[in-house]
Amino acid sequence: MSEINPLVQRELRSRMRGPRAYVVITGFLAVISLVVLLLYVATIGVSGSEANAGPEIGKLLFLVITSVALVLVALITPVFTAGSIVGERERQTLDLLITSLLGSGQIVLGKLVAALAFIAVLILSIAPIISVSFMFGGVTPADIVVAFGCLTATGLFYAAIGLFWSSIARSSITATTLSLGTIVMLLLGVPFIGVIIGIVVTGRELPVWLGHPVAITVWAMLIDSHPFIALLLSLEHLTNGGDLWLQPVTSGSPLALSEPIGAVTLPSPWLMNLLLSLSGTALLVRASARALRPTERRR
Amino acid sequence: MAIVATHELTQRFGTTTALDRLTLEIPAGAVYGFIGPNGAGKTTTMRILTTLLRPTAGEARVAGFEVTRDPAAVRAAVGFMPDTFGVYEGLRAWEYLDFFGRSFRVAAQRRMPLIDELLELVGLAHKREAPVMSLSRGMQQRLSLARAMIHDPQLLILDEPASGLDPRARIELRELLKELGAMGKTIMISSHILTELAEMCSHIAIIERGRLLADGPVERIMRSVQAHRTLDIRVMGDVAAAQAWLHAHPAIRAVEPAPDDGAGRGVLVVDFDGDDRAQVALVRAMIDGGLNVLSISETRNNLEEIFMRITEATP
Repeated sequence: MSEINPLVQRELRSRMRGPRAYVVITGFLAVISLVVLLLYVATIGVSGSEANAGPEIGKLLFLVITSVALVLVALITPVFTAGSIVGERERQTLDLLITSLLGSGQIVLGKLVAALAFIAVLILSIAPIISVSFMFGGVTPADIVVAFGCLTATGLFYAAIGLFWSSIARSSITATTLSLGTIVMLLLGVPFIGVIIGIVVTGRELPVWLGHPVAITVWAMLIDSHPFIALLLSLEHLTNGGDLWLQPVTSGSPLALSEPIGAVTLPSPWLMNLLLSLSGTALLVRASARALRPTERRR
Repeated sequence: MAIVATHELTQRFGTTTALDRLTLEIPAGAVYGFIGPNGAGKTTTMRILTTLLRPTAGEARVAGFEVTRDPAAVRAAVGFMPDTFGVYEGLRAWEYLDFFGRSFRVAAQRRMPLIDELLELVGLAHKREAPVMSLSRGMQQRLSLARAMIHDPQLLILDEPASGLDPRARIELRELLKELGAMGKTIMISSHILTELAEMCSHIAIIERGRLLADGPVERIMRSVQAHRTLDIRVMGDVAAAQAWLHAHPAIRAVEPAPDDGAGRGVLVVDFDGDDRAQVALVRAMIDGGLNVLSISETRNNLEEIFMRITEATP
């Protein structure tokens, strides 16, 4: 039987030994708990007497917990991976890894899996807090699938972004800055493009080619690449009685600023986000592995 | 058989030529000293041989495998110890070796006994459970050497292993390397401090500004450089008269009292230009000339002097 990737074992061993892991998990849970507590106090005060308040509070709590967790995962993950490869370079251990029999793909994957294992601990650790929202009702198993799907996709893809910059940069600080910069660009870029397009198309008749299934798919991919938008759209879709896996997408949705001129059925936004993240991760892992061994580039 | 063979190996970084058509061979079982000042191209050569750097031109083979065509086979044949010790936080000595053992695909059932053997060999058996970070620099260097041997490589490439070590750690490392040499390991070891290598090497190469100035077995290099030899001659009685007599001899270039001869032991250091036969003739002439010779001994030139002499000759 083949053994576990040695890098994964070593990373987990040394990471869980230091105080950092515990500090991060504690801080992560403290922030989410605090937000939940504040929100709980606020909503109880406002809607305490209404009969149907329970499910609504439950849904709201669920959405807020998931969103805060998503923000934290989006920020913590790249910081963890951005130091991974360049850290080996700084500690002058990268040469030792490269001259071992580990392939560059194994090195990069080992780093990624080790980071993801920790992110998985973070994501799973919010289960008890999320369960608070179940007490109010209104949250379905499909909602939970969507939430964990988005969290997993974001953790994976953003970890790969950190890893990619880590394989190129010469210092941890540069890698971290570039990773967070890339993520901020991605998070702000999609809404920005949406707003620009919105301004351009409002009230106008769309050109016919925008109704083509390919154009609709590309548009949906752009929108769904944003984890927060994908999360909100999917949860809304479920609330309106939609399917967990598939959704009909019309041209220009979800903006709906002009009359739709075409429609196509696509994977649900959260699923689309997961698929895009998986593809992006695969590309970035490949690029990182290449950056790691420039001497073999010409093979 | 040569474990390492390079042919016209060239490495350029931009306009700088770090290695200039380097051609050398390291026979199996040799302890090969790679000597040169800082920036001579030692590390560059070692990085090519360990597949970390792709040469601009030329060819390098390790254990018969070409470094750019078959890097994985080369890595399996080489144990590399760079000039810096890479530390992993939060790992113990045995875990450090275990990690690299796994990275070199050493079978699980073989790994544990091997780690203990290696820790024993480098004198760190008592530090098995100690965190790597807590080890002294000398200990870290020895642990690094154990790491380089975890996959039982045919060749050990050690880049400036003694740099930054205190004298005691230096001596311990030298003894360890001698032991490895005796075990039949081929070792390529670089240094810019020549005395470090003087005792333990069977072969040396002298490199400067990317070019190989000399290489071969230590004796041969010494012979080729030593057109003349240094003799310590101890005389009884009138030392000044003996000095004058020696000074007049045609094959003697210089005569001086030994620098440490403050006690008046009558030792003269003679720079003699001639082979064994000429030396016998000199001894006979001294006796015939009435000198009271107590002893004659030939001083072996150390690598430092050889290096200075070779590098002096190049423009």
